[in-house]
Amino acid sequence: MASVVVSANTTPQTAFTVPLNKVGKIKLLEIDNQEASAITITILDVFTPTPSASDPSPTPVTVTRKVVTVDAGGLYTEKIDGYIEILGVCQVVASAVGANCNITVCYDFE
Amino acid sequence: MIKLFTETPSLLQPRHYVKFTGKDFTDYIYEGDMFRIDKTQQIIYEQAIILPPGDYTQLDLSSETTTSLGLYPTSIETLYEILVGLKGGKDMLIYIQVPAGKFFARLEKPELFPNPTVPQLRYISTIDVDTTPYKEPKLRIHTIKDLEPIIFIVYNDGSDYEKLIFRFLINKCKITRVSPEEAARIDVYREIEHYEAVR
Repeated sequence: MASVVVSANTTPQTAFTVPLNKVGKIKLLEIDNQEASAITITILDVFTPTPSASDPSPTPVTVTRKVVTVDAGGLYTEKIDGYIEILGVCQVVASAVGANCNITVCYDFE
Repeated sequence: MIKLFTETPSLLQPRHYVKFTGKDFTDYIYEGDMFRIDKTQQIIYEQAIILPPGDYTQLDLSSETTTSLGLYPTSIETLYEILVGLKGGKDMLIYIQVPAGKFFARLEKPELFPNPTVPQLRYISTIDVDTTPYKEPKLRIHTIKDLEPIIFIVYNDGSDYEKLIFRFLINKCKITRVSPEEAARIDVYREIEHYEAVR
């Protein structure tokens, strides 16, 4: 299982990119917020669908996969039993910039 | 020509024979023609499809257009034997048409043909990840040059975007026509039945 750590940022930060022939599965999410205020973290999945009957010229889509708010000084850990599926690029975006708020994402490709 | 097995079928090998049955296939392969496999090469080719819920797309397996997958030989001396495996998209359904607009598998009652947009007809003759798994493919297709295009209609029957990954294991077979005299002496061969013969 691979893992990546990103700092809280209001600009989406890429955690990992799923290969074309794989599906990404987030299995553990840890947010260590040592900032002075609560921060909301959102896990995004960015991908371009295949041209289809209803949309012959699709554009990139961003789907929200998980939203967690962690209090100041708080540590949030979730072992995701049913996992979160990522189809394209997994991004992490925060409600505030925080160099002392680290998000760890553990994932696999299947 | 298109067949779903209960176990992963074995691949054709050099010195095996194939016989085309049921109907004339093309202008150069007629019903009853037999060929010997001279050489084989195995190629893996993967494709992924992402669809929103309730939507569908078409995959053209032929080599006719720039958007088709190119899973048909361009030489008349080649036969492609293709095992199709699937992973991901647990709610994705596949319907096979050949040629476009005509479902390969259907029941004989006229109104009972597959139709993903009609709930009562949605689950007739569908193929999914359980039917032909990625590592244990059970769907086998044979293609030759100039055969009418085989189309996969892929429908997302789920409630969210889903990604379906196709793994095509292509056994590229170089074939040589066997004379009728020699064919008459061959007892063991694989029958490739025209899709019209079983529809």
